Amino acid sequence: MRLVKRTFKNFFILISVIFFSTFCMLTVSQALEKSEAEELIKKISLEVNNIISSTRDESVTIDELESVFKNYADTNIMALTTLGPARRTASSSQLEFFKDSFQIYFLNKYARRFRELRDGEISILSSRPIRSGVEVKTRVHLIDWAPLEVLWLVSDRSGEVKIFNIIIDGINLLSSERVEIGVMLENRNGDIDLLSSSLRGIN
Amino acid sequence: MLLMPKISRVLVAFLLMVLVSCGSAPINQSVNDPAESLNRSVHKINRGLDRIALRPASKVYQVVPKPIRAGVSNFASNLKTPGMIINDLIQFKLIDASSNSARFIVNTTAGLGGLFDPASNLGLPERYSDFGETLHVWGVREGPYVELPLFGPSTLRNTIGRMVDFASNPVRLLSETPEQQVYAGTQTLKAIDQRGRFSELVDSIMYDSEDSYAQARLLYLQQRREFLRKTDNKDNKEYIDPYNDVYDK
Repeated sequence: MRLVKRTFKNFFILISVIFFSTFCMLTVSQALEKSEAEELIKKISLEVNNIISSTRDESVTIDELESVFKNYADTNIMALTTLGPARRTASSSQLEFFKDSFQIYFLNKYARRFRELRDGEISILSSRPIRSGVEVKTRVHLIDWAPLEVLWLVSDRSGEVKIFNIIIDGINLLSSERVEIGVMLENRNGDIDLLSSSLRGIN
Repeated sequence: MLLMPKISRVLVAFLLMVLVSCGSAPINQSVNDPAESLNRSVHKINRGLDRIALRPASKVYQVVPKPIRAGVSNFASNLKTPGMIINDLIQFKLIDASSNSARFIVNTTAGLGGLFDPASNLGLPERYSDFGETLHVWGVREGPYVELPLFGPSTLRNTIGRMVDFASNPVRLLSETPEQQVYAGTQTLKAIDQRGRFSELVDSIMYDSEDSYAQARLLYLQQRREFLRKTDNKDNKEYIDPYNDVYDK
């Protein structure tokens, strides 16, 4: 009877330990995700700060800002999702060319915006899990202007921890680009190669 | 007869409760634009006006030293605060109402009639509100998208809100003709200043985009709905997941 009791007790302890450790692992792995995402935003903030605080030629500054976002933004997924259903009929070489062209367009359009940051100050407010990753909520301080709320959507589904969307005061970058790329494709009668050349600035 | 005031008081309380419990109108996700072709014509006119008037004016105005421009814009903003306080009150947002009231008093006195903005440094930033927001809080739906001549993107609800805010503005109502002109003048200068500050962004939407109408519409609706989402304390939004969109289907 005592043996049964003890076995029961041990079994119960074992089960509890398994439960507890699984629980810990689950929460830890999720917390790691969040902190990893925040780490990325800190890294971006630091690099942007270094670039804009050093007084140099504007074109050099823009080039360097572009390289930051080239490293830390998953422009491939941005390109594919903004292209919409047309990606299903395109050949793989067409898609490669498009992804490449979209990256040039994206960096050229958005990276320069970060010159307007005051001392590159981006303060992290909070983060929360979303589908496919983490949303990091930040406050971005601007020269002569009230601070903006900027949400960075981060994911590791590309194999690396990268940004896949930015939402500035409710304005969703991917939504805007979906509309823009959609209109551009329509204006070119659905010709993806023509669209790609336009995105590269060749008309 | 003695019961009458009591009954009416109960009735008022009941109506207020109904009003509050009705809750805010739902926040739309999609674009509702039945008058698109008309709106697009208005947009064409607005774009022309920007090209020949607002954009060049903002370039000229940037020559004015920054402190002066800031003073004019602060002055214009300060005069809008009483109208915001009224909206805060009729939305039962008492914290916003008291914060904006304190802000108005500080900036009107210590800020020399509103030319300076010491209140922001004291932790009293502007808590923006307007009658369009009040209508939303009262449960009025957004209505169709409208592009207004001169004023740009709006919705039917916000157009009505704008008109009510204009007609009921206490500063405008309490002042005489010359001061009203000063009021209108500083509001215009503030708009010109803003066009200058956001020049790169506005230019990229108005002139670099292949469909500036659709971009302006989307930007306006997203920003306005985000503002209302904050009003309703509905912050955590679920986004379209591009990985799911591309890989999992």
